[in-house]
Amino acid sequence: MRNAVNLLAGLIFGLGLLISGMANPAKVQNFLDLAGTFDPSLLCVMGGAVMVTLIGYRLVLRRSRPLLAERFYLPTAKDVDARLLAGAALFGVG
Amino acid sequence: MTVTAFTPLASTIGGVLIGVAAVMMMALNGRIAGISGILGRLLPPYADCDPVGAACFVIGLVVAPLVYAAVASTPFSQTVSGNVVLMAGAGLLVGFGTIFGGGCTSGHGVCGMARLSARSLVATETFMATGFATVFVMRHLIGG
Repeated sequence: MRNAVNLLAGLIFGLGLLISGMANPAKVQNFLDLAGTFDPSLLCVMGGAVMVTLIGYRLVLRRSRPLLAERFYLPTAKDVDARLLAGAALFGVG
Repeated sequence: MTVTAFTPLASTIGGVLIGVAAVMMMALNGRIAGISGILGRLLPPYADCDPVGAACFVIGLVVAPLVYAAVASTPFSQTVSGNVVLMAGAGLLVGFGTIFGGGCTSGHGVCGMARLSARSLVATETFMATGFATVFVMRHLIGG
């Protein structure tokens, strides 16, 4: 059952990437090209995704545990450290 | 450089779908829908993670274009660089950077921001900033 959820979530996520245009690297790069062929679509994707997740997480994380697992696996790190900054910086370059 | 059209409606709908997938993962399986983290769980070490579940998610992700092609009237267009060395280098940076930094656009940018995590906010600002800078250098200074 949990694996079926994973499969379906992956499928919905993938369709989201395709419909939003974010599966096309040119569209992502154009978002990053303020001085050239700028395409702000990525902002709409982030906006839509964060709004739904923000509200959804609020409702979901009120419960004591998820429906199909023993607990919520949430990141525990709280500090902004050099590792986080270096990793994110390299990811952005890539 | 390929000009791409601004697609506010389709992009917002796609974003909402990504959000639905993220909420579903948390509500049912208690997991963050972070693509780099899920991909990383396919490889050892397997402590306190679920490689089979991760594989199922990745299968769903990979099957999505087939489903899209079967349903959509217009084929999906993609423009990918033909420079294999550049692509491999970028791939290494994406892989190493996301594992080191603990997340990518989905984990930090969507799930982390939605949890109002300070780490994720800083990470998202950082990778956006280096992304803007890299595209500027590659396209306008070097001239890709």
